[in-house]
Amino acid sequence: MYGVINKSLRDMVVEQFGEGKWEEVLLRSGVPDDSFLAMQSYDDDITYSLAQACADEMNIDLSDALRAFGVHWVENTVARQYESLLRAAGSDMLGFLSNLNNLHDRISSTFLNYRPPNFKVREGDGSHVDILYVSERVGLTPFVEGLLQGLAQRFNQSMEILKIEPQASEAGERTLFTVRMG
Amino acid sequence: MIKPNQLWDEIQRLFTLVGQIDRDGALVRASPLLAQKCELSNAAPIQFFDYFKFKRPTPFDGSLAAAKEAVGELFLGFNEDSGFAIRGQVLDYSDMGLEGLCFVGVPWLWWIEENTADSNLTMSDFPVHDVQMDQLFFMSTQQSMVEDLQALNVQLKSAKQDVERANEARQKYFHHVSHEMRTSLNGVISAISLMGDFKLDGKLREYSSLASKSADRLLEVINFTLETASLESHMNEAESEAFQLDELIDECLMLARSRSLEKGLELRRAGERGFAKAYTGRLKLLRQVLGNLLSNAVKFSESGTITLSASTVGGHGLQEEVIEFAVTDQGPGIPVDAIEKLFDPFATGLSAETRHAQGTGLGLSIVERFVEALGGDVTVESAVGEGTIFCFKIPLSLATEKGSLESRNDVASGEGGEFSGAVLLVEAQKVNRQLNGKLLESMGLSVVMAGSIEETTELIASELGAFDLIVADLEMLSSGVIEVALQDREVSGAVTIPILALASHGDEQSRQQTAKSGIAAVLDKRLALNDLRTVLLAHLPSIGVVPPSDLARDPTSGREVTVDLELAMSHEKGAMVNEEDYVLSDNDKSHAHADDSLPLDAIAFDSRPIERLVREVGIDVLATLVDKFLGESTDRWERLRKAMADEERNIIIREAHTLGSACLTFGLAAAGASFRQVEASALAGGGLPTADQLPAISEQLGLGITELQQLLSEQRSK
Repeated sequence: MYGVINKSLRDMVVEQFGEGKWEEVLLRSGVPDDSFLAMQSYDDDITYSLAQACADEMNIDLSDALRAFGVHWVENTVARQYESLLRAAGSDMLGFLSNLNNLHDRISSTFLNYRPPNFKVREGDGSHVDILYVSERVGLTPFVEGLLQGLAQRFNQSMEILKIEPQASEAGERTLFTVRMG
Repeated sequence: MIKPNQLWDEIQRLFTLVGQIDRDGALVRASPLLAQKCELSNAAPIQFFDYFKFKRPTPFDGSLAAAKEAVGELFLGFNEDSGFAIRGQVLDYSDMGLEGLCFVGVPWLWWIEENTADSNLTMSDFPVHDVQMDQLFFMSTQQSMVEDLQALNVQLKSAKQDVERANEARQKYFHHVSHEMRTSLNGVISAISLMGDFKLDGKLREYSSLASKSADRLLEVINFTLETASLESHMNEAESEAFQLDELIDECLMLARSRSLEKGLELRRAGERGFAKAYTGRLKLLRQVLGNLLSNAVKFSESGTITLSASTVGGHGLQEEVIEFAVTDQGPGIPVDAIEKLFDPFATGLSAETRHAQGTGLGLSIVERFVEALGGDVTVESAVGEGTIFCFKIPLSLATEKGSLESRNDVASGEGGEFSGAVLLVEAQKVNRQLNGKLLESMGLSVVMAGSIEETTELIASELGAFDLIVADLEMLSSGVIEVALQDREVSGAVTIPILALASHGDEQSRQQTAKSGIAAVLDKRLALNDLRTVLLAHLPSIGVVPPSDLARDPTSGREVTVDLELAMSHEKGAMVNEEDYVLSDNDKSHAHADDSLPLDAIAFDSRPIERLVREVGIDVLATLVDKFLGESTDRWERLRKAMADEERNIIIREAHTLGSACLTFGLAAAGASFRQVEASALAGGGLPTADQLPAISEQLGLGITELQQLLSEQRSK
């Protein structure tokens, strides 16, 4: 994953718990140094190790840590660094999610090793919306759950996640989120 | 044939902004986004080239005619009122049924981002092939990269400062440890040497000899290790400097010369001579490499020739040249199985036959690392019984004109130099030679040192023209050999070099004779800066000579000195400088030792010479010289004792003279006077002085050295 993810994780811990806690997380993770460059591609294991160390250090489940990180990613990192893109990608949550693949496609022209997830939005009978998340990576469904919550807050929309269903997949991860928009 | 409306639709698939402009310049038809942004209505058509101000093409006057001229070019236009801007081309599709001109393009994202608070643009406002959104993302990430790199830069700077501080602390530590270890060990060596004054039984003598050899070797290892460690700590930060390769090679050969002469080895230079160009490189590392290789060659060779060669082997005429260095000896060679581990620390490659040479085994390890740091690899070829060749090639940059000049200035005038020129300094006693060499260098002079008559005559024969002045030990001059060599050269080359003689206290008679024999001046061996300056003024070109008013006052102590410019100018060839002017002048007495009331030879230690030397050469240089003196004096003491036992008059005279001179240089007044008495007694030709006198002198020496070291510690702590 790109350094911007690892940096964001560090920022979240430092902002909420201080520099000392991050040093402990880093030590626990076994990652030798945290001089991440935003646009440098790093091994996925580094990100997973850091996330697991965060959870262990906070004494919470990894899924809770990833969920919190998803919210932080939208509310802080993306909003601070890519606000203009965020604005260009949509004016409400479902519009944004519909454009997200297009946005990722554009990023792919700059990040040659980019392996983005794919989102499909299907509006149901009016009472719910299906959002299908497909990724080459495994274990990040809680992170996406946090992303959805963060996006709803950003667009001032109420959202309730009704169901999270793992889907059969030969590789990676495939999850169907059923949500109700307010 | 495509119909106009079909064409219009196809264009809109490719571009989000499409407008048809009629022959009067009015926007008569627009794609939805363009119509929305321009608030286009049938009631109020807009003049397209008036509505938008165009930054491109240039020049562009906004007329329809100019637009037609610019068909196909890039159009960048903006409307400040609406906060909207366009980027595209004007095309002519009139042949295909679209009358007038057509604008096809996309929103000009950069202008809008820069000038509009809320553009309300979305990704769907840009066709997928348009790169502006990609650029926007790229710019955002680049900004993030710059911030990351700036943060890293701050961290690196901080880390660099930490390393520099640690290095400084390490340097101080090494200096301190070096001094403490050497001082203590010198005490051990002196004590063991003093044991030799007593009659020892066979076993005790054997143990004493073993202890003495082990202590000497330990001192050698300590010196080597500490100096190398200190140098290594600076290896990575050894900065490039401009230097003359010829000078470096000569300097290295000169340093190895005295030892090679002692062993009867021939030391030669081969390869190119006269490297006219100045080079830029890590001089300190290169000097150490050449010094180590030459020292090794001398150490392990018992006969034959040692050759240092340097040749340009690549990069001729370019900014960088590749120089190949080789040090060849005809020593015992290195066995094949030892070559593999030769560069490992503490590996010596010694065979049983050469083990007596007792190398520390660290020199070649350093050579290998330093050569790598210089950008080369060192190789070795050796055949047992025939000799060894160490060879390496390194790139050296040619110094710029400025660099070359700076380099020459460094050599010619030195830091704070007042004089220019080259001096041949002839002095047998190592400590005095180095001390006086430092003094001469501190005045901006380039100094070549010779420690023996053979070395001196060789230099006179080969390089006399390179010297502007000879400063020589009076005793060595008195032998007449140097004089003959000079006459030979002066006859053949019509070169006349002024000579300054250095005399000891007891050489008054020789002084008088020599002064009459055409020597320019006679100075005391314990050179004083102001007296030296005074004499040099008469014989060498000066650079910005200190004015008389400044000369009359020592800048560090503020005390008056007794030599002024008038006096300086009065020193013509043959003039004598009054030793009392600086050795015991009235002005000096205020700084005299607490026991001023005692005769000078009754006090173990007179602090004034040390205080003067600290001012003139600095505490670090002085401490090093004192260490060397203490190390060397142990051997001399042993030789003196043995000569007394064996009744070797000449050796007694020589060793007592040297020890006395060195003691007086470092303020060891009582011991110095005693050595002088021993020398005078031996010179008188009667009964020889005996070893019975030595315990008393040893006691004087011990007391004096204790006070000397205490004063040095105090000076260092300042």
